Amino acid sequence: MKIQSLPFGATLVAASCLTVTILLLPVTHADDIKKTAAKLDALIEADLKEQGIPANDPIDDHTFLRRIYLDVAGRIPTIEEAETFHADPNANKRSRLIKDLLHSDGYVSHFYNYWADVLRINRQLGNASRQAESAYQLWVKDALANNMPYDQFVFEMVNAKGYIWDNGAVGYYQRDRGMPLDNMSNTVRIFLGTRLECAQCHDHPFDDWTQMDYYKMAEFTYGIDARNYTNSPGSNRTLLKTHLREHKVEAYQEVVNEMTSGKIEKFPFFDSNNRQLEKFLAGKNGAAFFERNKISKNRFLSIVKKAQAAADKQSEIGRRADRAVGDLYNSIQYISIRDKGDATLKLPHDYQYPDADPHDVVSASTMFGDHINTEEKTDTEKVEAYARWMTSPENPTFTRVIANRLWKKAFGIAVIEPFDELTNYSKPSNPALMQALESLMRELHYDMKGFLEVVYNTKAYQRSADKNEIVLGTPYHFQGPLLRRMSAEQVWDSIVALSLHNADQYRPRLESQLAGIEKQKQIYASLEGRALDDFIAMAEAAGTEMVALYAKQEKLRDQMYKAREAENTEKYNQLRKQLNELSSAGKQRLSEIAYGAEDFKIDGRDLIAAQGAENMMMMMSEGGMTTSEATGRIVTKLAKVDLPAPPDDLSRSQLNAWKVQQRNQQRVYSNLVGKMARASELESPAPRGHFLREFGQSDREVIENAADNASVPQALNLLNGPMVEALTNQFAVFGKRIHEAETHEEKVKLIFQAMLTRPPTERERALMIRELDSSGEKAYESLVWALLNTQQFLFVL
Amino acid sequence: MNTSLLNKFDELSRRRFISGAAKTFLGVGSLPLIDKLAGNATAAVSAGTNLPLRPNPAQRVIYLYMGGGMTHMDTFDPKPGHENQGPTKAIKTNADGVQISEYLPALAANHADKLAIVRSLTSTAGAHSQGNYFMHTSYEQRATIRHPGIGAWLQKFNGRLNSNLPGSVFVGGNSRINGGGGFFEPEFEPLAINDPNGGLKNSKRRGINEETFDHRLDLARELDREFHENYDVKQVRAYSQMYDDAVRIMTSRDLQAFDLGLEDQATRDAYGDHNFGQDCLLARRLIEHNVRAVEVTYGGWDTHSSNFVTVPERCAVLDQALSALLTDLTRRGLLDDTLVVLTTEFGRTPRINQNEGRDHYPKAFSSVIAGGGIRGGQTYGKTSEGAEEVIENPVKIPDFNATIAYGLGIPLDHILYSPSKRPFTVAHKGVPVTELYS
Repeated sequence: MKIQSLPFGATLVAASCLTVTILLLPVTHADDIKKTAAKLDALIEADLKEQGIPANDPIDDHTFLRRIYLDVAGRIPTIEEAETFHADPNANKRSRLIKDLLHSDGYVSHFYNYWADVLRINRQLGNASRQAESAYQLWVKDALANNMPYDQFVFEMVNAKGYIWDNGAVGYYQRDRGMPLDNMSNTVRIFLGTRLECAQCHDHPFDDWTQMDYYKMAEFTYGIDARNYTNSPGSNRTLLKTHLREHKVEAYQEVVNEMTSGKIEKFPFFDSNNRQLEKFLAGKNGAAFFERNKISKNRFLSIVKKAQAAADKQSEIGRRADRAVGDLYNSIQYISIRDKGDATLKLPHDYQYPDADPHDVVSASTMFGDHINTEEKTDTEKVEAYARWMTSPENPTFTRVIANRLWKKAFGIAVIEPFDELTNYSKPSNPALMQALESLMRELHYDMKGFLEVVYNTKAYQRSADKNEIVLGTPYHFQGPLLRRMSAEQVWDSIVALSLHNADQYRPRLESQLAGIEKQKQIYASLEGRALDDFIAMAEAAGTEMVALYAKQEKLRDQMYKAREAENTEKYNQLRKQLNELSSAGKQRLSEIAYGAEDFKIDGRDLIAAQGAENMMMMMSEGGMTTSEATGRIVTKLAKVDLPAPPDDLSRSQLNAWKVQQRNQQRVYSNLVGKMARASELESPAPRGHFLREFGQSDREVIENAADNASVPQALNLLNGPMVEALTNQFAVFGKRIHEAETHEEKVKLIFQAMLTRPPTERERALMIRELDSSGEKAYESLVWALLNTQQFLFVL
Repeated sequence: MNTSLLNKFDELSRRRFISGAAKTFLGVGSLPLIDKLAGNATAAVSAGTNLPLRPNPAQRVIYLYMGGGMTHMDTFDPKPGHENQGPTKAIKTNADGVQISEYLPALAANHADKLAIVRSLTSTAGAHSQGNYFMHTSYEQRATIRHPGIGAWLQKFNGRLNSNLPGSVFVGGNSRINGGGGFFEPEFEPLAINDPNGGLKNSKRRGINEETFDHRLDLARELDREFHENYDVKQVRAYSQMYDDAVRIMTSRDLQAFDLGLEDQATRDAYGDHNFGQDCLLARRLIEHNVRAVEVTYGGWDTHSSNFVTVPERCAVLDQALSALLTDLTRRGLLDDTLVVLTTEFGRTPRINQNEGRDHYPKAFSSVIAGGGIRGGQTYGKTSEGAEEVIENPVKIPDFNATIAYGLGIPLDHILYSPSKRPFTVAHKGVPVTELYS
């Protein structure tokens, strides 16, 4: 191969020379950012000149404002935000806004959507649990909010261990529970830009990777255990099982001792559930035993029978106890990542290459870059070394991938395409720019916001979106960003931000997410924190009660069968109800036995407060907070909207009509707007059929699965869906402004500003005014509807 | 979507090629030419069958999925007299020598002669998610790829029958994630309908008359004029096209396919006053309007406890809805070219557990196929006396899916490539049970 296995030193030297010439200053201060951006611009312009491509025109403040809000905060700006920006007299206001937005809650929401698509954070993390999903989600959001350096971000995931309440990053491995080989393929693709999937089953057909390379890489993380916690060796439940088995043998032995007065040594144990006894009797051992102990076969059998009866009785109690405890443990099955301890990865049964045999044990080895010595390393140490190797600035592709990834977020296309399928043939469209970006990323110690800040400050980014048809597969030279359709989340979040006050701070699911995780922690502490004796006593008490409960259920079911037979529906339904009640009462009882007075009523608000965040109820009066004032606050509940005082010159009938209209608006606000939240704060991904999914929100089943293609349900949604009502509602952010505006001129200006982030052209203004004049009061709804259904609304210019 | 431009390019050229190939070669049982072009010798994983395509294949499929794992012993594979059976009795059917569970009396009395009951399904996937995925795709669940379901494959090879309507539709609750468009292009993703009474979402004007609607639409176009002049690119034009399509559909008669309100009360009652019944009725309407594939899910079969309480309740709904569907399809002359499949992720343990429940059991279970040229009134395969093991004609999940694909005229050995260039066929290496067809 391979670009990647060139002696790495050489590349690094080249890179550091560049660092010296290009990036003399640490990028912290506004001037430095500008200077660094200018260096990047110089490289782009030199390349454009060489290619004979003119740079696109610089964009005006309106276009910039819309684009930067969409790219950083994931939504269009509100009227107020636009007013603040345009009123800023500072010549540096674009740079200031870039910085502000990068530090806003909108950034976290927007980039969460992106990383959730990359990391495939879906409901219950596929096969894990709701709480594991919450913990991972919150971990990623926190990492983004705190601007965790990218190398650390990756290291913490690839090296994740522990419990979900201590370390949400364990979600990285829980997501691929039971599929360690696939997990490795995904890791290598996401972070190292290399596609290895093919090599799982055979040598890579188009690249140089062998199946052996694949297995050697997979060995590093094969010892990671994401399986059901309940069955792990140290858990009280596992110890209970051992205890129950011992108890069963003891019960057996007790009968034996009693009946033989303890005179027979080594009386064998026979489980009634298997055929060991028959074998014993048929073979030599039986006869020898009878002979040695001078006992008749009949006498022996009668002892065994009685002993087995005692053992079975004990075993029945034990089974019930185990089952009852099993129900308790059900909710904490997937709460941790541990070491498997004894795992060895072997080659598959159909391994076909001469360098090894099928089923040979594989030893870990890196596919490129530095070698890791794994001798005498524990599983934990091996994973850690692997994570260090992967995230090292010296890893041949780690930096290249993230530099391309973030560049593509801004420009719509990377310097190397595709950046997650680097091969011998991968070529940057502008090699000097590629090197500069990699150096910048290292220089900034993987500070993602810092990197993006430089990128957004380039002139290249602040040029108009390319108007040409992009020829697929040809290199792009960054004469400006590509024209992009908004992501599903950008479309949705834009509408949400125009409707809901402080949309970026509104996190309606946060309380219950935190409470869910905390509850698992407490259940775990309660079950595992007990001494074994205590735990066994609890399990047996629970088991005994459950036996009684099951008997009652059995009786009910028998009655139900009879009622069904007799076609007595009324009786049947009555019994059905009783059966349901009995089973919930049973659950309740089980929880009382297990946890006693602890009822795990957890207040999510306290947990938010404990994190040091200010939690507040959203009030209408706070509607006007600017982004920076609001950042860091968390809104968990929406306040009810109050009706305004009625105008005082209304007649009785006018007043009634006014009231009906107001209540109607109030209802729309609470039923429609009040149920909205930014995409990152809803069930995520949204269920099939949701607005977000119709516009191509990723289902998070495979890496970067979001779509931007046109589809009929999208058009139907904008044409006939409820969004217009949300936007024009008089209690909503933007609707309120339109309602308050007095002249048609003013309304047209506001509507254009809100929907398209710019003033109308003269032609557009005339069109709109004519519409308002001819269609009367309700006409502004037509205007909002019409603008919502333009294509310029959906594209990032 | 794959966001990289290069992949888009691959995808486009591949798609163009496949559609070309489909026009030229499909239907005459040609060799899969794609292999040679891709120059990838190792990729020629054949389905192990040189079977020619079935003449006069079924055109459409209604796929009824029993979520949670339907007990085989208490539905289509009863074992009267065996201790595993519990209180469930077997009853005679209108097919000679075929008995099914007493909980399915209408199917037994009127429709068993239309059914091919497969009693020998066998698998090793014993967890819901994996089992569900395997049944829907014939491939094991992997974290690096999503495989398409039967509706997407059907549409891919045989195209749409009605260009106004989606190629495939999912009807029912909200939990289905498998058997969609998989790694195919977005247009192969099924349309999801959660509420059978809701019609096609957003297909009716909202509080405005036609004149206002048209006026607003004109205004939107007028306001967008400069943008379209400035950005005359494919991506933008696709959106204009999409609006034209949307408006056409709003006024199309095909929209009626989604409207259960057009059914008379007697028909609605026949299917039953429950979601599954109405979902099945909607499936029939969609099929009638030439949607290729409709999947209806019906959950609640995960009967770890009180199996003999829950199963008869589930069966009552299933019995009514499926009977009505088969009657209706027959009466309308649709059954002959519509395949009706009833399946699930696995069966349930023959041994009754201590809560009078049955647990997951992939080793032996049953499914049913009807219509579309199926020879009704037959059972295929056999389980042991206690329904614990398959003792005759085992059918693996890929075999079962190959049987469905064969019935629909999908070439079993035709390889398509994922964007990551991995080769796949409709039923993996499954071999169809052709005996089920007459």
